[in-house]
Amino acid sequence: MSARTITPTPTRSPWVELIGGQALALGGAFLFAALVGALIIRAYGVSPLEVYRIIWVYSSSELSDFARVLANATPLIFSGLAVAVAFKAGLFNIGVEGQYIVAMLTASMAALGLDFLPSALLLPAVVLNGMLGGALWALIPGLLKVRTGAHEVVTTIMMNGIALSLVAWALLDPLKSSEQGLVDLRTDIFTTKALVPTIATSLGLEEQIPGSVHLTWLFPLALLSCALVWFLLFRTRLGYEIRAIGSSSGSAEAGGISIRSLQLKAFVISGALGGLVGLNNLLGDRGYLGHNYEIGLGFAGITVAFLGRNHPLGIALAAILLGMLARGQEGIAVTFELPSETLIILEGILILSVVIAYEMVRRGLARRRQRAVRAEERAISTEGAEDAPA
Amino acid sequence: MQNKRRTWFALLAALMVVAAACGGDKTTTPAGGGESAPGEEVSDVKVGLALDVGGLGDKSFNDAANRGLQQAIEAGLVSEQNTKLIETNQTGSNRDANLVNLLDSEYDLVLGIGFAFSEGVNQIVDDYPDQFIGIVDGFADEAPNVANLGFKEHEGSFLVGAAAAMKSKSGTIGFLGGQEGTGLIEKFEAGYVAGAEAVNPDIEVLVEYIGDDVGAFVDPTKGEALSENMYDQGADVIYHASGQSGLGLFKAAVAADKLAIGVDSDQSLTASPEEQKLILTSMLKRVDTAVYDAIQNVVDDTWEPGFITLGLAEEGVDYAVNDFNDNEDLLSTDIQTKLDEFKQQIIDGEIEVPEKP
Repeated sequence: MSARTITPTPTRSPWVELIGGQALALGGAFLFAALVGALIIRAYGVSPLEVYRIIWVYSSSELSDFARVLANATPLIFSGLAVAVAFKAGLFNIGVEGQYIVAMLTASMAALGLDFLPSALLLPAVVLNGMLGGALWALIPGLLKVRTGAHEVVTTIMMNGIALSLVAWALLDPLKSSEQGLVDLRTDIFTTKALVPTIATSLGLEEQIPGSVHLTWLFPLALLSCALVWFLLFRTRLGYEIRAIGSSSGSAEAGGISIRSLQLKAFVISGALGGLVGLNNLLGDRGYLGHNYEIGLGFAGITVAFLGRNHPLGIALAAILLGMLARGQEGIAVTFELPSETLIILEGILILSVVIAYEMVRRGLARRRQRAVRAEERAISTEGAEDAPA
Repeated sequence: MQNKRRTWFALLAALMVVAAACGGDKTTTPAGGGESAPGEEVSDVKVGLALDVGGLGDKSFNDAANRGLQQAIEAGLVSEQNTKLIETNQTGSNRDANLVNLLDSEYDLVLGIGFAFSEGVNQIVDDYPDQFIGIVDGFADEAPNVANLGFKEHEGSFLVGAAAAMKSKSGTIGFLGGQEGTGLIEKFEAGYVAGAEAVNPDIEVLVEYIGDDVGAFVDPTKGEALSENMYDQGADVIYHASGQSGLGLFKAAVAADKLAIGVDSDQSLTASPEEQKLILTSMLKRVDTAVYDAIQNVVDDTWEPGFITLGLAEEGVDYAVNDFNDNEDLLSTDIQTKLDEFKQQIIDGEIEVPEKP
């Protein structure tokens, strides 16, 4: 919040301005959401400060709490990335939900069918099969989009519904466990070779992090995926082309880029990432596919991508933030007489404020740049040429 | 620009003032630092209930569990601020997390309301040796602090079997079972048949099972088809023990305009108006009693682990009387009187209800 100046400050690079502006936007949005949230919490006769303290305490006071947060964040990173890759190509993949549900099914088929393989082969096969399932489920709306022009929002939503029914059918019939005396509908329990070990057991931290915390090596894989997606988007030709059709499909086509095949590629990559969403639940927690798997992770990915500005780093941070809020929600549930929906409302307000704040900052920066350019023009006419910071 | 910024700050400042003013008085105390109990006899036992899918307002297990908890509070066993209810998300995928959070918050007794908590408890029980864990309808592995709170379903089924036989004009009644072969649903069948025969030794009981796996509990279509078939064969009352598949029975009852009997909780309360007229009664598992007794046992230091089964004597099972069936068309006073006599005879041991058909 510097004083108004007519001359631009050449020492400040646009990067600093952008990051500073985004930090300011985030900070302001958080403050605003916290204040509005305080009013809502207060309406229930509970102290807002105490609620915020509990969110903090439950998500970070002990190593195990933070591990729970990261475990919560793991699927959200994958789904955020999946949404973002499609979004960068100008596509709305609302179907991450269905893609991860189908991927859980295909991954389960691999875990059950290939159980003769050694762990070093089985685990990658299971994970790849999940990605394949997600990619295939995304391929269908992708093909419909490029061949018939059917809008991907409509088709992916439909595919979500089909995915739910497909898994329900698979659990009722072909994949149903033959175990006697079961009271739950599920597949057979996978061989332990197909399960992803928790970080705690691998590092000997069982004392601090109990077995009920499902922070597995899929979390580092999620971070690695962030790096890979960043590399793909910003350091490869394919990524450049994806971003080009996303920001301006007309000029991209004029520049010789084939939009259709790129849209299809982006959709399939998005689906493959989406295929990883359910794996922490499947391979790090239950070790079987049952009818009570977690739903909504794909839709949460839209929020994550939005909060993270479709940037892999932002997505990782946004996923951890939402992981903290989810953990905080558990804390609120055991501590206060507040409806569990309260935190969902808070989350909604936060997302809304972040979106508005980003937009305000973006416009503010654009205005500054315009002013800077105008000032530059005046400076050029008097002093001579110098590089403009824009 | 400057003006806009000023309005923005003014708005923020105003909100801050409001929030600060509101946040002044603290009325809630976080769990862990509970206030001292008002009465002297009230124990300082902390009780947490992890509800299952459906949550409060389900007119079924969750509501019944809450009733049991409220009764315990009213009876002065525990104080209200030492109790906690947690609901699951839509699919119940956070069921186990809720239970763990209650245990982490040092609730002395944590109750999982539904069999689905059983497997999760097996995984975490070693971490919480000093707290009591109870699972309604549970089947968790043996552990010194874990109790599976079950019910003598055959005793309750005896009563509704007797009601069915008293109500039947054709002399034929039906039983729709869910999963065959585990022995669990056979208990319902055995009690039902015994109850019917106690009223009318010549009664014919048609028995159909939906399947031999757990899918049998989620197949209303097959439930409807089998029920239709039994109604066609002359049954005029059918009792089901088949979970969601029983919804098919109620549909078939409406189509045939014949009577049906619900199971587990008072199913009249969740049925459609057409179905309510035809649901004679329901065999109740008294989840409220199970919750109340579990709390009492912890307070009195008489907790026992393992499989606890509550029968008629413990008010663990019953038949349902509600606004819809408490009339001469359905469960008449005569029938209720007769059922209460049977109930007493079972409690007194004059009638022994078989567990196997």
